[in-house]
Amino acid sequence: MTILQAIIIALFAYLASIGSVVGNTIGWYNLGRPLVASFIVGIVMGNVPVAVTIGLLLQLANLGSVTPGGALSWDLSYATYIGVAGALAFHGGDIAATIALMWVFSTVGGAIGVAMWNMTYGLNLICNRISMKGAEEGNPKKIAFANAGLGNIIGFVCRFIPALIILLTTAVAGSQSGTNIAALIPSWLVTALGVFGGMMAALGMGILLSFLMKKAWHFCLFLFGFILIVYFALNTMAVAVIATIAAVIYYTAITSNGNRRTGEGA
Amino acid sequence: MANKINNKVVKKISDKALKKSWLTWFFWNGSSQQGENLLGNAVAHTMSPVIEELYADDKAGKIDAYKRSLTLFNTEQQLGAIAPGILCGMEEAVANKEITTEVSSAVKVAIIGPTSLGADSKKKE
Repeated sequence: MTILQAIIIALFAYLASIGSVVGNTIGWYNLGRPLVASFIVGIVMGNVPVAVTIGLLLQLANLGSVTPGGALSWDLSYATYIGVAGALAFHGGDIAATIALMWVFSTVGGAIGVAMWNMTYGLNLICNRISMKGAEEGNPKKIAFANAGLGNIIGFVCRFIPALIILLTTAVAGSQSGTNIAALIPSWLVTALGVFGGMMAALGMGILLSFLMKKAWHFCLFLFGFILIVYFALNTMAVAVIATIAAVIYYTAITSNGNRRTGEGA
Repeated sequence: MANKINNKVVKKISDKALKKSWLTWFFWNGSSQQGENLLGNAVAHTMSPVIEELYADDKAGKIDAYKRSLTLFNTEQQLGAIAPGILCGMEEAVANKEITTEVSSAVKVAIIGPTSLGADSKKKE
């Protein structure tokens, strides 16, 4: 990993944070999702397939993650940029070791991301004093500076610099001195991280299912899709078509219910 | 912009100001999010084109409108973008003296829940 690559990834780690210059719709909700983030890291590092393969695990583990009221429990975008970039820098062909390294890097990255977000949350209070002064003077430029200008400067300092420091001290230093961190991790730890990482994906699916399933019988639909993928070996598109057919039949059945009872329907 | 209806001047927000306001919201809605008024600064910034237009020749009204726009506000960013739109409409009504500032402030607090709840729960599904 070169210094330039580290700078580009740290820049994206800032852009994908809450309230960056590109707006939350493009930033936090698109660039910040692990699937997109790992793809970008893959392009920068020149290894898209491995980047997306390990990024997918983070996406699965955090399927149900939302940030109500700015209460951040886990900084997904920071974890992905640091985790995937750090793991890719030491990728030597063994995917299991790379995945284990990704969990280590993303745990560190996610924790620092949360700390930095809380720091931004506090430091942004300075913006309030300026915007209040702008309101008392009736000066929209001062309010614009407080919100878009100073808010983003604080965000940039709190996001870009820590990401750059982490990447420079680990990935760049490691790959330039020739030390491979992946080789230093014992094999039992690689296995353990792989197993627990797989459980994280199950947890992510579990959280998502807890939102989706309103009634107990909905679990049958989930199992039906599961056997279609696992035992019938269909691809996602085929299952999506079957799901659409099932949804249309279900909808037709429940909407024609009243007719049948009164004997008017066909 | 001001139209004359029944010899009474009715202020109306222009499309240009609304578009500028929407773009401001799209790009800067979370920029200065903090624990004191959450998205308050962003709402004041979003409404500044509208306020500038409605109170172009009324300095005291402008300052009052800015102060009201800086109170605590929070919503979801995509579907919740309807909230600043409602606030712009309320501000227009206030500028035309159709409603009092108490009503607009009450509505502002009232729409925090529905606009963020509906959109955030949709995303979970």
